[in-house]
Amino acid sequence: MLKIENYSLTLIGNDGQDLPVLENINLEIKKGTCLGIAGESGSGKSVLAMSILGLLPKASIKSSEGHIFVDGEETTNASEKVLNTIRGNKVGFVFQEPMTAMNPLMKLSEQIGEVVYAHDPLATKTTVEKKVIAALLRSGFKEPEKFLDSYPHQLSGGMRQRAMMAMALVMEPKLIIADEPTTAIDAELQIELIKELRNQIDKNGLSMLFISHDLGVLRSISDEIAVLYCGNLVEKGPAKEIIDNPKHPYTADLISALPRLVKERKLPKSIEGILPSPDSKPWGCVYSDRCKRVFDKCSSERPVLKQVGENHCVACWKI
Amino acid sequence: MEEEILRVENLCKSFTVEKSFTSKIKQFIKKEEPEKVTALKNVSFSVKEGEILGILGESGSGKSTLARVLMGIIEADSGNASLLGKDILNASGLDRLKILREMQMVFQDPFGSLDPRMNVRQILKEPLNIHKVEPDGGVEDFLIKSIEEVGLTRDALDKYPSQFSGGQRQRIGICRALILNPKLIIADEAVSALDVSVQAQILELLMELKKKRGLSMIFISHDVAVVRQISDRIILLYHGEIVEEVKADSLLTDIKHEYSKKLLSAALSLREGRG
Repeated sequence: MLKIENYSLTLIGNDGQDLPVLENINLEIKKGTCLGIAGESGSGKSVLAMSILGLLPKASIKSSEGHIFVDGEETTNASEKVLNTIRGNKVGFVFQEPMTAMNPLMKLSEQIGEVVYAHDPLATKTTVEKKVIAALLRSGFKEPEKFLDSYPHQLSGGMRQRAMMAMALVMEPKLIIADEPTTAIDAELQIELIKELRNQIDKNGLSMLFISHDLGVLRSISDEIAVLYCGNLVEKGPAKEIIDNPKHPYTADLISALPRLVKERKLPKSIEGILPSPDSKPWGCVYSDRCKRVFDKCSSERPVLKQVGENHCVACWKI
Repeated sequence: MEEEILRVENLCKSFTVEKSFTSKIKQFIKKEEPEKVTALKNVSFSVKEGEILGILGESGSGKSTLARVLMGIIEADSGNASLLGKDILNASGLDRLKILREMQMVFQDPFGSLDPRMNVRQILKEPLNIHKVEPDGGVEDFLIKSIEEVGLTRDALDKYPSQFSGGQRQRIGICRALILNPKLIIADEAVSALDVSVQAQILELLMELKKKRGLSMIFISHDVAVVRQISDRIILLYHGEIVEEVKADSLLTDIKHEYSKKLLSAALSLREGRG
């Protein structure tokens, strides 16, 4: 469904310096599966999502290499015209902040209907409404007719997030990109939304790219997890493998930094230091300046992804 | 028995629902009571010396309102609160200022809670100026000591908030709260906006400061796991009411209220993949 090949991206910083935000990313999402991308803020996960649909401002891009294919069609270097047939149509995007992603002056029906008109300007009012209602139903609204005339501020946080989902689903895309869709909401609602999204994958054969910093959320929804650090993939593999048996030191540290709800009560372990900015990455392995298992090769040469198990790859010299 | 730092009794707060101008007029003509939302209802608790009290609740449960009422940012409708035996809700002017020195707040948003046009030195000096405190050995030495205590270096003093990462800013926020050497810190979602690795760093820092200074703390969060790690005792808020009060050690085993059970099972299934 989605294929990213050797993709690297360099952006231009505020002072004109080069910011290599993504380096040699290789990823693939098969039909009907969900790939989770884990990473802290500044790791490049949102930039990756945006570059799939060419959403980054052209002026900020210094150079990009490699290819991204959505359902066989290349989106890197594609024209706006081609991209517009993919955006919203083949690929739906669920953003993190529904309050800023929605237009406060548009009713729900217009908000979601806009997507339909954008791809089919000649659509009649009734077909649009039918599609909008179907999309709202699919995203878990019980009585969608009641909310068609609501403005975003009249909806609760959970409903707004569902409405965002409906906007992404209305054209029945094959791929959904969800960028931290459950971050700002309560635990119970998070679980409901995750179930709803997982339903779309299992029942309707959708594929999904799910971005989150929360490994707990990723484990509940994804089939595979890829861990991003400083614009580099450090580990990818089946979700359960990654969480229960992490191989890369960063993944392991990240998991032990999670506050747990197990019987024994102890403070989570922190990772010392801070995430380096893209223009001050260590020369060798990107994690070498914070890693506890570092040795001389780590700071001189950058490791590449190595297969360690079925579908499980790690970029670390110790493995 | 340890000394009681803060005592809150029957605290109530409700907000009037904002209506459009026309419906306000209608209300006035019909002499209707304005519609109200209860944010806090008969909340009573106490914090002992050196204790961390966790306040747990989902969005809308009234946990931030509680913090703001205690800090005097908004006024309570009724109830009492006393800090070290002195009334804080009805005190005014200089008295209030004096008492509030003993209670400081760490805010949620490390970006919004620091003035972008002040450098760290100015940010940290502000509370000293307000309370007219002159530390022994000069202000500069005191600031350097304080900033190093929260894990930053002295050159941080000349930088502006925009030059720091989220975790570092939260350290500055904590440093500002501690600079008057208060007895009690109120941390409202102090680690929620941070990445997990940084979150753990800040939690470690808070625990270390608690041990070193014998601080008491009210730690407010929606995150069950975080609250359980850091607190000694936990209060659960639901629609402005305390539904459960429990020792942190027995949170997983010894809760009774339906709502607390639901909250816990949701957290468990997200964190541990169970339930």
